[in-house]
Amino acid sequence: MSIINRSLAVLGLVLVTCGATQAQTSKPIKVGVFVAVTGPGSFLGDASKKTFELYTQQFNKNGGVDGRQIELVLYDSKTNPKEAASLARKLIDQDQVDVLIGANTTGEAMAVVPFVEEANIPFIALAGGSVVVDPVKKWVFKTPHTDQMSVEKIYAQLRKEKRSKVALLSGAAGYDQSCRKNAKELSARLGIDIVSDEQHGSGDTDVTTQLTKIRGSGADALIYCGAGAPSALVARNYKQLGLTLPLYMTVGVASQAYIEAAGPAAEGSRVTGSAILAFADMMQDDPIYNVSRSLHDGYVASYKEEPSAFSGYAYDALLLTVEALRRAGTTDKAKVRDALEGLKNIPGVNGIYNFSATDHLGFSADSMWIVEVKDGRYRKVD
Amino acid sequence: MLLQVDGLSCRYGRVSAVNDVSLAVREGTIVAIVGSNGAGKTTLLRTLSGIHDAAAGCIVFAGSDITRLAAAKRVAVGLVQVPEGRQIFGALSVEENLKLGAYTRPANEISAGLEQVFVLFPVLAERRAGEAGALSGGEQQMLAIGRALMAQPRLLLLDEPSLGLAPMMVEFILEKIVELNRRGLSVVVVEQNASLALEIAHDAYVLETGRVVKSGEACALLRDPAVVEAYLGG
Amino acid sequence: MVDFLQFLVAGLSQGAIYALVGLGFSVIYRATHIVNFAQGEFVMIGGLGTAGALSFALPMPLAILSALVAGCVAALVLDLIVIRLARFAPALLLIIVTIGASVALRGAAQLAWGRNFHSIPSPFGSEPLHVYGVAIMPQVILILVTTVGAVVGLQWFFRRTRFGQAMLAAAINPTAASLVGIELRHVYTATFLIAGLLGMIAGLLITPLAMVHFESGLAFSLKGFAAAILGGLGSVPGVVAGGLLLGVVESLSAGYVSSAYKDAIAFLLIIVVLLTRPEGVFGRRSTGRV
Repeated sequence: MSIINRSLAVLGLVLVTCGATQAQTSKPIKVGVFVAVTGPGSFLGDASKKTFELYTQQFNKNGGVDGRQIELVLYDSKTNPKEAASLARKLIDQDQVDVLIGANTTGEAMAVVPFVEEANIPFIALAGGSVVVDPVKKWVFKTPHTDQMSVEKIYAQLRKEKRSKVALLSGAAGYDQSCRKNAKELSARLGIDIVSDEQHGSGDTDVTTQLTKIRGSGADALIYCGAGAPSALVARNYKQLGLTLPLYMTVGVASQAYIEAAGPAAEGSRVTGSAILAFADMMQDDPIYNVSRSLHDGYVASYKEEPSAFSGYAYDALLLTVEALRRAGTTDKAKVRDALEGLKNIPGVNGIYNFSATDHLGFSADSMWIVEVKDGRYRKVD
Repeated sequence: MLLQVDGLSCRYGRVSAVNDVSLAVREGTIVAIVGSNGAGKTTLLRTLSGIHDAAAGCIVFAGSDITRLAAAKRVAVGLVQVPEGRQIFGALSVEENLKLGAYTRPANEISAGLEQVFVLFPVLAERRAGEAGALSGGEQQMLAIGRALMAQPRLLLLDEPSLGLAPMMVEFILEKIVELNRRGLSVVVVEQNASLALEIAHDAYVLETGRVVKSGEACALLRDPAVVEAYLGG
Repeated sequence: MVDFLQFLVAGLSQGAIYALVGLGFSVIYRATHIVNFAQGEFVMIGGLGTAGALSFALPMPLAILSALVAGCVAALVLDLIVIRLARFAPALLLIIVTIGASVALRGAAQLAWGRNFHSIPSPFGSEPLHVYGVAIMPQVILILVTTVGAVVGLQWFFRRTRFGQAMLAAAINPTAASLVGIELRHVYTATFLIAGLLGMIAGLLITPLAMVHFESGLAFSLKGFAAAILGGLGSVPGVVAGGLLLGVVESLSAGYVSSAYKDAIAFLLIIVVLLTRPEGVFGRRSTGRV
């Protein structure tokens, strides 16, 4: 697929440079990307890579940035912070990219931050951890919802349903532990009581023991702080033990892959994430409907699969980059950064971005949806 | 000739252990190979059995060249060794050890083979279910010989059969070797205890630092003053 | 009580899988004195290979067969490389070679079956049985029965067949084994095939319950190796007991102490065992008289 894409991109490039005479002399804008195509975060990075390849081509077809083409330089960071850091340096020093996007995991993002600040280059991270933009770093922005937002959103929903006793189950990975920490910290403020705090190892193939304990804990809701495949194991063991308390999962699970992996056991579980997860339930008057639709339809047409929340992060990063470049009217890094920070009311797939000097994430938990698996699809929960 | 060895040399790395050795074993005879410790006797036997590679020379057994034949295949053609230090399978039972001896033979020969060995060494029959590692040194030597006999050898190679045994047991084992030879089995016996070996052998070779320094009829060597002085403590 | 039984069921089913993987370690270690850290990859191949074949709409028996064939080819290649090198390479290097092989197998699996997690359906469906309030997946019963069957089969093979005896003999004393006419090459090849099959059986058993992906092998290698060490590398019943013990200890410590420290507790147990009984809880002290 990527070969076809690339040749299409080349074809598009040729067509555009022939047609748009005013752009003939201008060099392409280089966007450097590193994503976790392989390694434990591959379920994130794969969707990101596909999105970048597809939509760089599409933006270029639509004229690029005021006639200048976008050249994508994309590397696999293997979900490895060291690898990510060295790729970031390579992109900055050798490839001389104008903007840096990447890091599907929080560990990778944090490893790259020092280089970005030293090189003074705008960087949009695709990682969930709130630590990436809190405290605010001058050159660092991010598009994904944070694990903290997921927890806030779930807690709000629980209070609406008059539930207050929560059991936590988390894995050993960085995301899991960050989510677990946030869940515990937020609980007191939001009137939630954590009655059980269980964990599982990274290669575990059974969590019935932990779930049995949770069953006896008196909890009236279960939150799984984890990402990727172990969530399907949790869903299966949950069904096996016949648990009845509602099962919530966070944004780390937000893709179709979860439903495929867990099969019928996924039915009824709830997941927080971008509205695009339940695109069919979006209202046409939703301010982010159009942008979601353009990602959804293009992605499905090209890859024959539903886009995940992780496609949305990549899409928004690209969209914000293009918008900032357009407004800056130059590739001067400081001006592009200022333009990014000045972006207001930009509808993206994850929400409406309102960056400021004190906020490099740009939206709140309100832009998040809780969806529930019904008949093998995500549906919005009201 | 049952076994004909010509110009055989073997090395351990760059060290030469056996140098240009030629010897012959006539069908139905006992051949003794004597020499002091480190003379290359064990290396010679290991090379005959294919455990060690020959660097030069050739080994012809029963009319066919076996110089490059794998160790396991040499057992199948009837060249069987009772190694130095018995090397029995200690964790297995006596009977299992014996059955393994017949590994190259068809399964229907096993019970007849066991019968023969038990007649030769009745003590093994008593201990057949016991663990081989629990046997005494002499019993282990019987087991090692019995295991080799299970392969229906044409030529039996014995490496230091008397090593570490009480004199009475040495006597008993040698008697059995002679008995087997009378029934037609050809034998090569390697011994540090030269007088014992020369007494039962027909032909003999004296090995010194990897070379054959003397050979001839065993009874002649027994009377050779040089041999007597060097190896028989005379 | 119901909770305890539920913990026990989880521990036994996990432990049985550890035991099968541990047996693979044990079989190869006994014959070659090599610790094969690619052992867990066979679990992955068994599960992923079957899932991959099922995605081509093959019927289940054929899918399993094709996975087994793929795994046996991998085992043969591993055998070829490791045993060739064993003629002159030191043991430590061979262990590193097996680690390299596991990386290569992971890479190959990623190319063949992608990076996603896959599962295969259980022949008994996904509805649990309820016994005195304990939810037991029928697959768990299959795991336990198959493990018992594999152990009995293995014991029978080693004690009652000529080739099995030859494998034992070669493990005890390779030189003596070739002096009775046993071809060591065949023994080593069979060793790798048996170890590979044990791993793949574990993979076929666990994949319907959990899911596997190309990197799942590593965790199985670690747990299987731990089981083998715990039980004494050389003994079949010991390794099985070691696996079950490890599984149950993990589950009970998650249940009654802390799920965060269950792995730590299990590995602490292994360290204590290694310090007090280096031959394993159930291993025999070697009988010195040979």
